[in-house]
Amino acid sequence: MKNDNKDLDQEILSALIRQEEEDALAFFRSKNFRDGVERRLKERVGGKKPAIRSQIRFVPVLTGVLIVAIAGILLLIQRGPGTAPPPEFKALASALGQLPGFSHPPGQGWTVPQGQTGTSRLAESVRRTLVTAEQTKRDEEQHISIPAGTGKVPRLSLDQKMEILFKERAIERALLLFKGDSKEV
Amino acid sequence: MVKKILALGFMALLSLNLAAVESPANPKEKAGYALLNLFVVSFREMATQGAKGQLETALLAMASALEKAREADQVDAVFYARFGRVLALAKLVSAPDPGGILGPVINREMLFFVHDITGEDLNREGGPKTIGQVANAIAEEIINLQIYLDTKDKRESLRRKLDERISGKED
Repeated sequence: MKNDNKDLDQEILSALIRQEEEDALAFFRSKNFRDGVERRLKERVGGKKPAIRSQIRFVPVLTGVLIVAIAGILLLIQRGPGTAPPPEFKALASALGQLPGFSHPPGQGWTVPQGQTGTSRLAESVRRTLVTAEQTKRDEEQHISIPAGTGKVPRLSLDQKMEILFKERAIERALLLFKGDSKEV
Repeated sequence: MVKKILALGFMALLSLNLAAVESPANPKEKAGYALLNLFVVSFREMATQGAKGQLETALLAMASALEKAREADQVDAVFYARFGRVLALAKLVSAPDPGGILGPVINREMLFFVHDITGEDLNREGGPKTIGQVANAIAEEIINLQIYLDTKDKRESLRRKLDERISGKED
């Protein structure tokens, strides 16, 4: 009798468990859990976005500043020799001159006084760049000479050439000056 | 943000472009640039100082430099021919020609040169107007040669790429 009761209880329990499972499954199917999970994940990640965004914004700004700085340095370095120092160069030199360790007696150029202390690393590195640029310019000037012993020729940019040729009309003036008097063109 | 980056990039490119104007675009063509510089500087000096015999000396020096540069393979055949033609024309226009014996030759050369470079018909009446036309054509040719040197590398690179593509297709 006891055994019969036990079997009945187990059957009832099993039926109840099955019923619970089916109900749970039906409830699960009735709701879209995947979307819910994704939504909740997004909400959690979304809360941290401002910090990430600020970092993401910072990187392009820094990159842009670096690009402009590099372009500026190239502008200073690539100026042709023989021309007056550009205003940017003067402004930079003037600004650097106010930094510790940048003042020097006139005529000494960009030389590093021996045993000088108190110069900041940034100032030192910029000064080295300027010294190197100046040296490169001098080297280039020495190498710009054509064969046949015509000597050194000042390097002219396209703009400078156009100014001499079209604004000053140098060729026309010279040809008119030297045209043989006896020759009728 | 994108606009800011574009603006900064544009500024950087502008700075680089301004810097490039001041220096030769093609450092390998030093001899060509030097010859062009010499030509312009010589004519400027002649126009301002006006010493007799200066033009003849300058043209001789440039012709000699051009020959040596060509022998040393420092200038290519195109530059050699075009710059040589400019020198020859300057010599023809400026050299004395008593009796006008060389007149027809000089006129023909000037006519062809001006037409080739500027597309203009030469003023046949002669005088300063004709000289002005020739001088303008010479100036244009000097600028053309400078741009030729500036862009030579790029053109050669494009040509190489095209040749590689064509040979690749044939294979």
